[in-house]
Amino acid sequence: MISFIIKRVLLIIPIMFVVSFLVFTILRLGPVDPAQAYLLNSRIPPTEEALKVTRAELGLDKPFFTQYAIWLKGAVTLDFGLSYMTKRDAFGDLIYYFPTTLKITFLAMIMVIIVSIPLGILGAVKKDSIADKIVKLFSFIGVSTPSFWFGFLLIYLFALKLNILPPFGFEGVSSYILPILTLGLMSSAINMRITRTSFLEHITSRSTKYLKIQGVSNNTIMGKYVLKNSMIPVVTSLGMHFGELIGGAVVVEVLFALPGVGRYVVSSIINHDYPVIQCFMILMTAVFIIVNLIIDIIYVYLNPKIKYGSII
Amino acid sequence: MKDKKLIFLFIMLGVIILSAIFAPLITPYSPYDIDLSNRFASISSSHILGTDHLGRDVFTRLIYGSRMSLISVLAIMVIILVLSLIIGSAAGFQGGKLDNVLMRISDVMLTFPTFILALFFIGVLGVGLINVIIAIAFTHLAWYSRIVRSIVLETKEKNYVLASKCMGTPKLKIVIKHIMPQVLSQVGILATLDLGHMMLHVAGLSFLGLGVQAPVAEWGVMINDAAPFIRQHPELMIYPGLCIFITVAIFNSIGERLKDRYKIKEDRSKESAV
Repeated sequence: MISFIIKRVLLIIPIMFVVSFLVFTILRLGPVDPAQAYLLNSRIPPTEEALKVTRAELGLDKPFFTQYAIWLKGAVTLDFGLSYMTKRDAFGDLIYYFPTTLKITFLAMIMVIIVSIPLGILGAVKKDSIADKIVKLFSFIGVSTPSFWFGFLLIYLFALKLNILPPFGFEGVSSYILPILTLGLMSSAINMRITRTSFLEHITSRSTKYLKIQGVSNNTIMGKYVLKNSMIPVVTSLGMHFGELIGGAVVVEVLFALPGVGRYVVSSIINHDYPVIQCFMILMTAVFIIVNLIIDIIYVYLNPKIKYGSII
Repeated sequence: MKDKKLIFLFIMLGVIILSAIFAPLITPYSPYDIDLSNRFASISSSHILGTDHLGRDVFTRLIYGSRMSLISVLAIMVIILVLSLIIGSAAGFQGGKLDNVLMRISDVMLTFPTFILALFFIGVLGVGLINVIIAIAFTHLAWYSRIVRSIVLETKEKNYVLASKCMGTPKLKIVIKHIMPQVLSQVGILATLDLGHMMLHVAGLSFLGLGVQAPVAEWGVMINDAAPFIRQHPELMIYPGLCIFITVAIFNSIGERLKDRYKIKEDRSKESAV
C-alpha cells in the first residue's frame, strides 16, 4: 500500500509538467494577443509602439520555448507572474480567494454524501414503494434543473419571502446554507441514482443469495457485504463529482456574491488575464490529482481485488 | 413494442422545435421591441405572460429563446460527432503510436471536469456564443472519441468489414459505410442523454456573462436580466428557468428510454481505455 502511494505521488510531477505545457501552449494558440490584452487591462491605447514595448517587457518577443522555460522556472517557486488586471501576484490573489471555494465545495460534497447515499439505499431496499418513487422523482428533477436558477428560487423563498437566511454576501455560517444546497443539488441527484442502481444490483446478485441460503442474517448481508461492494461505483462517481462541484462553485460564488475564486476567474477570462488563467488551471490540476489519489486509496480499500499496480 | 411515453416525449420535443422555427408566426411581437411606457405589465390578452423591465413581451422572448438553446446544443453535437468520428477512427484503425498519443491526450482532458475545461477554452478563445459552443464541444470530445474508438476496435474485426477490406475497399470508405452507421446509432443515443447536460452548461456560461450577451433573447440571459427584480417580479425569472428545466427534462427522459430500450452500455469509454 505504501509503495503504491509513493508511486502515485511521484507520478504527480510528470503529470503537472505535461498539463503546464499544454495549458501554456493552448493559451498561446488562441486568437488573442497577450500584449494587447495587457494594454487594454491597463487602459493604455494599443498603438504599435506601446505593443512593442509591452512585448519586450512581458518577454513575449522571445522564442516560444524560452518563454515557457521562464514561466516554468517561476511556476516551480509558485511565482506565476503578475495579473494583467490587478498588477498583483496572480498566485497570491488566487490563494487569497481559494479557501472559500474549497470550503463550499467540501461542504457541498458532505451534503451530497449525506443526502444521496441513504436515499439511494432507501430507494433500492424499498424498490417500487412510494419512497422509491419520491427518490426517483427527486433525482429526475435534480438532474434537469439549472443550478443557478435553483439558487435564485432558494433566495426568493428563504431570504426574501420567509426572511430566515441571508440572500447574498457573507454574514456568517448561515450564508453558506443556500449556496451549498444550490451546489449540491445536481450531484446529489446523480449519485442517488448510482447508489440505488448499484445497491439493487448487489441485493439481487448470486453471492447475496448464497449468503441467504447459508442462513446469514439479513442485516449482516446488507451491512457487511452489499453495502461495501455497492459503494465502489459510488466512490468513483463521488471523485468525479468533486471536480464538477468546484466548477459549479464558480457559478454559485458569482450568484451569491461569495468571496471565492469565481468572480475573479470569470473576470480574468473576460479580460484575457493569462497569468491568472494559467495559475488557476495549475492550481485546479493539483487539487484534482490529490482528490483522485484519495479516491483511489479508498477504492483499493473497498475492493482488494484490484492490485495496487493496475490502477496507476 | 409501442412505447407511448416515448411517443409523447417526442411530440413534446417536436412542439418545442416547431415553435422555435415558426416563432414569428406564433407571436406578433419582436423579442427586441422595447416599450418603456409598458414595463412590468401583468398578464393580459395582449401580453400573455406580461412584459419585462424594458417592456419587452416575455412570451415572445421565451419562444425566441428556445432557438438559441436548441441551435447551440445542435451545433455542439454536430462538432462532437464529426470530430470524434475522425479522431476515434484514426486511433482505432491506425493503432500504434498515433493511437497512443491521442489516448494519452484524452487521458489528460478527462482528468478535468467539463465545466473547468470549458472555462479554460473560453479563456483561450474569448467570450461569445460561438466560442462557448466550441469550448463545450472540445470538453466532451475526449469522451466521445474514446467511445468511437472502442466501436471501431469492435467493428473492424467483424467479418463483413474484413471481407470488404480483402476486396480492397479504401479505409475511408470502410469508415463511412460500416463504422459511421454503428457510431451514429450507438453514440447518437448516448448523445441525447448529454444534450440536456450541455444545455445547462450553455445557460450557466451565459449566466456568468461568458456566452450569449444581452440583449439577445436566451433563457440564461433572461434569468440574469430578471435577477435585480427578483423581489417584486419573481415570475420573470421563473418562466425562463422552467423552459430550461422542461427542455432538459425531455432530452434526459428520451435519452434514458432509448438507452434502456436498445441496451446501450454507458461506460463504454472506460472498457478499452487502457
